[in-house]
Amino acid sequence: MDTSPITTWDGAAAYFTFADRPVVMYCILAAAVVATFGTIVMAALHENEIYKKADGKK
Amino acid sequence: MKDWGYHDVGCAGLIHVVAGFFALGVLLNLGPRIGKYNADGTANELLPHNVPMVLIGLMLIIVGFFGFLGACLIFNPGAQWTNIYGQPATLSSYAFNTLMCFSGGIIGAWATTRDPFWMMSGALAGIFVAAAGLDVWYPPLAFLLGILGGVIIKPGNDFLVRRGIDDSVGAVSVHGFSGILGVMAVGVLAAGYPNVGDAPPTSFIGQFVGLCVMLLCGFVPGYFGSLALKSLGMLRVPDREQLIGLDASEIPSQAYPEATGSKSVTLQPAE
Repeated sequence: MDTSPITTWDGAAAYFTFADRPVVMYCILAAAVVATFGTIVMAALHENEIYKKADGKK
Repeated sequence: MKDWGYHDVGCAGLIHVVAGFFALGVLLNLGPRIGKYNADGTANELLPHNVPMVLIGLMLIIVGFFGFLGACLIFNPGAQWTNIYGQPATLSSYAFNTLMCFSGGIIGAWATTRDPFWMMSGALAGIFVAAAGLDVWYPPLAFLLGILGGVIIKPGNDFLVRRGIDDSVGAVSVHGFSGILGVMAVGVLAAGYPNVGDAPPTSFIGQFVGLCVMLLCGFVPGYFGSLALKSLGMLRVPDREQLIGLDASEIPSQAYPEATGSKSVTLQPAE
């Protein structure tokens, strides 16, 4: 899959992958945001679960 | 490799695939540690003896990677900096994508293992999955690639353990398997970038050919070199030394004499 936004380096400006496909860029950004906040949510759920288990053992 | 348009600016293939599969070749001849496998073939977990030191070491490696990857740029005084293939490149793309992919790796590995060792190893794996295209990744894409690296390393190591390959630090999985993903990620997600001179643009087939070369460059000398040492009886330390501990066998001093209850001279004041 050709994802290069440029065909030559002469006069190249933004040349990162998918630079010429904003929809794809926003989808990737959205996935990254979900992964970041999802991690925080996972951490909170995991901690609540282990605290309950620890309380149950006391 | 250049004639195929192979693109690997952070040496995912050149260093990590080569090293990871060299290690695999050696492990095939070295055999497992004593106590790793039971008679029925099941594996035991041999725990590290100092997890904080493991984490400090891995964090040092990550700091070092910023230096190493930044040094993969060619500094042209007063002119456009380039990558090792002569294509224009910027320090900020390398630095920011390194940050993105290692943080993704930490997240991916922590989310799937919760283990501190695998979490920090995931940081490395994240770097390796994004290393080949550090100059061209859209940074959130480098982050997602890092997550992929963090996710695959524990299952990858378990795959090897189930086949009787005892990799004590997960080197084959972290370096080898992540390096493979790193090389091919460029072929799948960063194909079509023009090359300098007569070399063709980056492509899936170019990356695949490069990957095959790197695999052979790593595995063949690792396997046959260790086989030669094994045939001479020089590859593996004697079992007795392994049971005593290599540090106890080879080093005359003791690191923690109070902890081991060693006798020492009690100093007395002069009378």
